[in-house]
Amino acid sequence: MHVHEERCVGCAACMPFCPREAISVYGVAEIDRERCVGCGLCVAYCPNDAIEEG
Amino acid sequence: MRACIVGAGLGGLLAAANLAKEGFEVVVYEKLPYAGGRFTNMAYRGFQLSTGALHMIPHGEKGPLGRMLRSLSAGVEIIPSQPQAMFRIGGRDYEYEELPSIFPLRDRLKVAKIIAMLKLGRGAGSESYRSWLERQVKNEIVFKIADSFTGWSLSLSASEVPAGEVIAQTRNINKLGGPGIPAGGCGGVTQALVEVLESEGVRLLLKRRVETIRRKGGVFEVFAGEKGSFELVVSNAGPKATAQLAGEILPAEYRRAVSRIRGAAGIKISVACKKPMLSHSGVLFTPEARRINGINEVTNAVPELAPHGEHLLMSHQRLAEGADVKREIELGLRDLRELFPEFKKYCRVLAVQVYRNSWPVNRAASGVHLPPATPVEGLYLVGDAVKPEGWMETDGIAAGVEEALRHIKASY
Repeated sequence: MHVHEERCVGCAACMPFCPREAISVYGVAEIDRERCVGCGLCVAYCPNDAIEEG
Repeated sequence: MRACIVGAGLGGLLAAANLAKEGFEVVVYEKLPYAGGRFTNMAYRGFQLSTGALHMIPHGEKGPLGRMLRSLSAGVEIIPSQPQAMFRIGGRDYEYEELPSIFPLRDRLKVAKIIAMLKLGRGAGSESYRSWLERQVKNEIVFKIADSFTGWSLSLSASEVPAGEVIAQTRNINKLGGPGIPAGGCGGVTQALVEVLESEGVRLLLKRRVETIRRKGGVFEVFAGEKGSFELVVSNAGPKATAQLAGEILPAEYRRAVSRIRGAAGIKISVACKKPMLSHSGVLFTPEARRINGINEVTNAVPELAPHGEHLLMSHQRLAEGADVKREIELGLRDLRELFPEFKKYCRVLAVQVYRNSWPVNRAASGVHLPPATPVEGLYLVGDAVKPEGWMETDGIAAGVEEALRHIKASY
């Protein structure tokens, strides 16, 4: 998963939906690549189209 | 008559429910996998956080939202906050009526007069609330109290809001009372509205992004994966996104005006507490904090928003344009640690949420009065950019929907 920092507002709407608790948000979302399994839920839940697969 | 609602935020859901009751055949398109937009819950570690708004309705069950929910038979209990609000000044908490007593004698009468003027709703032109206050009294604490109120409720400083707007809001608070907390939080309201839509036969389609809105032969053609034809389109996507979707069916001048609308930004910090940090369910305004404007502890009214025996505290602070977001968050967290000496021992931060740009506190700052009707007949706006004067937050959204419905009923 890749976060587009210029589109991410830091709203954390993605965070609770991550089944691996791989997302932390402090002004901008960061995804822990070690934990991420690439399920793509955060992509769907992001209101700002700021997360992309890959 | 067919109506299309673009976006299932609070404004879209309210509009959909009302139009369905009026006999319209209603379809709601929502791009996200959930309804409610910035007004619903997200469960996190046993706590009910929210996607946006605080779990609080500014005028409780008596305001436009409470009234509209009742008229729709949406079963939501709204628990009045007791007291409505406290102000922490010099380490002590005061009620609104007590505020004059904290000032030295020479300012006490002036502050009492300000409170009376706010109540009577007199004496404001188009000047800012701050400069209106400066004409009554020169006292830093007064200005800080004003900033904490407008920061909490509007995510603006007192110098960014017209005095008339604050006076109209105060009039509504005096008439209808202060806030209430919906049972189930924001999500309780959203869930109740979704149930109304289901019972009215409204098609609520999630993960369905509207791509364009066109006008053809007197009807609107809306493309959202499928093509639909509608006599009426109510957009909850915000004025800017709506102008993009509708493109040339809206006059260029209107699109230009819409592109210049300024929103309001803020930061919310949600905190898990092992013991209550506040003794009440109202707002604690924090005029002397560095950044935080106010705090509430919703579990004092609705314990179910936290795991058994724990508490959910939420702070809100205005985010000024161009500010360094990480630094603002840091200052907010420092405020929390200083406001609550036991913070380190009993509290942990669950989430820091920033609302700005495409996911703001408000898509139009309070004081901007964008009418729900657009220049195109049959195309309306609802949501937090369409709040009539004097109505804030979610009650503003409901009041804007009321105004849209009046127009629609007169023309259909």
